[in-house]
Amino acid sequence: MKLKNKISFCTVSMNRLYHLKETLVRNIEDNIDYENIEFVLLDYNSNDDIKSWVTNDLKVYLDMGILKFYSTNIPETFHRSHSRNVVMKLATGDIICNLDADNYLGKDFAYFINYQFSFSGNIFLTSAFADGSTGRVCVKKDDFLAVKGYDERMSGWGFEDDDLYNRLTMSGLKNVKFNNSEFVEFIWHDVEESFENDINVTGVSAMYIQHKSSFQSTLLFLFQDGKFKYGNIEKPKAEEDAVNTELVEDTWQTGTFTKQNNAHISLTFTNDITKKIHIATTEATKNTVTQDAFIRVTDSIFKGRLLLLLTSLENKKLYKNKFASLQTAPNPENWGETIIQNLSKSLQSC
Amino acid sequence: MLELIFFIPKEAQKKMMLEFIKPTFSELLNTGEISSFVYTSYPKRLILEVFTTEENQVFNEQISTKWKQYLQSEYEYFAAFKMTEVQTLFREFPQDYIKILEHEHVDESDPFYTKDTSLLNLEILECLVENEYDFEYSLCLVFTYLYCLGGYAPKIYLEQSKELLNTIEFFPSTKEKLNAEVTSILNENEKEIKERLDELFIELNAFHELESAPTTFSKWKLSYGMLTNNTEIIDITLLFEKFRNQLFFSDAEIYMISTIIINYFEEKYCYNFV
Repeated sequence: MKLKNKISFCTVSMNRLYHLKETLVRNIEDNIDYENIEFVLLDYNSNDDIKSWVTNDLKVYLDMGILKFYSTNIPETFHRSHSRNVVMKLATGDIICNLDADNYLGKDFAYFINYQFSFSGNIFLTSAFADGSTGRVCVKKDDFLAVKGYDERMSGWGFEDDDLYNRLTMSGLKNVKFNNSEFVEFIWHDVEESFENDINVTGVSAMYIQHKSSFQSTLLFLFQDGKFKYGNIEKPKAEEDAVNTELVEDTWQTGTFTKQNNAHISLTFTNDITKKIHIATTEATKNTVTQDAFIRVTDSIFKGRLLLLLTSLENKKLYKNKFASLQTAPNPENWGETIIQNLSKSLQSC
Repeated sequence: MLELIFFIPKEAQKKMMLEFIKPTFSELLNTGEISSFVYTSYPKRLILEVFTTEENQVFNEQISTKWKQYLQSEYEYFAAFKMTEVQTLFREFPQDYIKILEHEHVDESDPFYTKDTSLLNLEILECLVENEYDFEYSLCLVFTYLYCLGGYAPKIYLEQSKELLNTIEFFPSTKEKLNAEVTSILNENEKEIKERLDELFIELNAFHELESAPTTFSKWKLSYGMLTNNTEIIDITLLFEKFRNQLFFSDAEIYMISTIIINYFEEKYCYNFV
């Protein structure tokens, strides 16, 4: 018996083979009973051994046609929105589902998706939890294309999902959230792992913080190629948790830097304004407050927190400021495209 | 909320449901005098829970009068149905078989009150009576209902059907007869039944397209789908019990239907469900 609705589970991997080895086979086996499915795996220019793993260990699924394997060697860093757009456009299902490499689908999740869509075609499904399953979204491919997918201006970590869900809702779809415990399992890992190949944080060589008050700071990130990102951050209310931190400006300010000596760095912004900043000798911790000098951050946990801010705050700002009235992403004409190699076919023909 | 207890033997309830409850309460729903109603059938009485928007006293008199008129018009039928039982009930409840209780406080968040499907089930009951309780039709109806209770995967159907089957107890000799009946039905019509269930499963799984006219079962599916919508804790056994009672399915019918559904999935998906 063939069911009407084909479901595609779409996964992107950039050096996440260690997660895929845990999840992919189990996800396929848990849902193989539902005949009309495909798993679309996109290797987003990984340095790991993903190709030989798929060739050797997953050949049976490639031969069955249940696994489709694509690869691109164009991107040098990970772009969350673009990579997801690429893989979801490659999918051929009526319903497409973003599946992060560290997520477990659960037994018969495909049936569950189809069941939910059978009551109303005008929905999209998401996880009800704000955890590692947050990015799981199941949407009719036509609806995904109609809103032009994830906004590719949002290159960093976070809020690109919320933005998509917002636009799908504004296009007239109802957001149905599932909270079945068997469908929301994932591999626990540090949040930093989620953006280690991220386009925004790759190449950071040093980071500095200037505490202005308990709820206002200035951050400076230096990159290996001589560029920097600089910006003021604040918590809207002093008592709010760090999760509510926001970028004061719309984007990070950028430019090139010169280290004059251990105590001074000269910043030349893209608008040609230069600024000389003073570096304090003490190392930064979360509780250090200095009014004028920047402090170099060396604590690894604190560095991770700042990288999270670096990759997520622009997304957050865009999400909060500009999207309330947009139903389609302002993506370029060639959104979700790159040079792709269909490895399923070449492997199958071997 | 009012609780209307009609003291009518089960055998006469179907007629009373279709001739009195359905027209009367559909009209009251249309005119806004009631917001919803739920009925449950028991062997010697039928209980109707009604949410009224009118003054209770006015509503009580109105419904009592209508009931009395109906009973008088059909007096011969009801009186002759089971004379002893009817006479006993008359003595016990002289006010024309009806008792109206008033409840001040009702928890309206209770899904059994708010997710009322009584009117739909009355329409279905009419279809079942018109089709003289055609077995295949009943089978499809139960299958649809199970789907709506969250039977999204074959294994879940099986688990649900087994669970519901376990709530029915029979004497071993009765069970033997019923099993023989199931075997006989499958021997004669197995191919047709399985093809019909295949078609229905596809129909239930298909997208709901608002533009297309709903089929009988897809229409029922969407109505029953509301039962579990956004409700976290569902007592499937209780919901199913209410469904059965509203449609007057006997234990024997439900046993045979559930057994065939289990058989269908076990064979189709090769699940060993021992």
